[in-house]
Amino acid sequence: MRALARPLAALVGVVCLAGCQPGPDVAVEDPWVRAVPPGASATAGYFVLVNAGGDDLVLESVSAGGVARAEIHETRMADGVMRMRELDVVTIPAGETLAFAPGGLHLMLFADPLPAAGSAVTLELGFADGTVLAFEAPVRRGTD
Amino acid sequence: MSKSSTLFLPAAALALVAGIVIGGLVLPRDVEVQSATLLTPARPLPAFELVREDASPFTRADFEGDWSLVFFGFTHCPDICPATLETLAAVKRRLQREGDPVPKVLFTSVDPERDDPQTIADYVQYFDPAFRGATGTADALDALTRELGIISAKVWNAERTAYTVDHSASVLLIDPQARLRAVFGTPHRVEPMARDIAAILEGRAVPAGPGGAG
Repeated sequence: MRALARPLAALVGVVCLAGCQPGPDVAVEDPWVRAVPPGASATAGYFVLVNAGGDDLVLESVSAGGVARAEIHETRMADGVMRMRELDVVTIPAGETLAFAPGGLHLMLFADPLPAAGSAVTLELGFADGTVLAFEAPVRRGTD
Repeated sequence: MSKSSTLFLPAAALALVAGIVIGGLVLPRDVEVQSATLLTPARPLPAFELVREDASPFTRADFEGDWSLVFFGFTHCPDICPATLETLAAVKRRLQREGDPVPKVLFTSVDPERDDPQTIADYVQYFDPAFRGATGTADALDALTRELGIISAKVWNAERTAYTVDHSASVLLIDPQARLRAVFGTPHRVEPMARDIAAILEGRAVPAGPGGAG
């Protein structure tokens, strides 16, 4: 499943919005938003960021279409206790890949109602160097 | 064909079948549990009084008669709680597919301020229609969680406009005598959990050796 998901994810279009310097240095792979029960007020967005450039990238703003508020969060496990905290910025070191994945970094998305399974959410990531990445993340249930 | 050989063949077949059956019972008997900590002896649950997702009372006696998997969380949790419930739904499907006994699944909200029984019902049944939920007052929850080593704490954001709840992410296995039998720590993975649950419910589970794997 994973082996199949990767190449498919690479086909997901990355749109550079007005004002940014388009470049191949940062790419997003495998984006998705967790489908959650009706009535839930928060969900999470996941993706993998690939920084192919020679400079560190600093993710400093996030937003999502049709979602009231988006924040960068991190789940940390300490002695079996789940702690979730908001982060102001996340740095993706030059040449490295950073995964936003269940149980770790994620975009926390607040909305009522939240997008339904089968739909898609436009996630927008703003970096300190002015780069903006906007991409579609399908809404689906998590898989093991 | 002589009379003795007509007797011999069925007898040999019977012996072979008996050997397979006995071998089958004896050989795969022990399964080293890798994904959970076994409690030996199992630890009886304290008395508690929570509220079910259908607003009826939920007490220790309700655990009697069935195996149950219990997870503590809250419905405003975007990451770990839905991920864990999805894993438990996949564990259940796997056990059913293998023809293994299947425990009940109970999600207990440690955020009673925001999670009323109806909210919990809508939430858990999205993952599996048979999943059940519970919550209770802070004191009622504490009576149960304290004894189980489950902790939770409300944490406000910097603007004090919203809070999250830090909580133990372990999945607990309660036996049909309402005793804590095993604790599944994180990360929760479908295959090892399903294998270990099947072994525990069938009485074939032994603690993992000192080396861990094996």
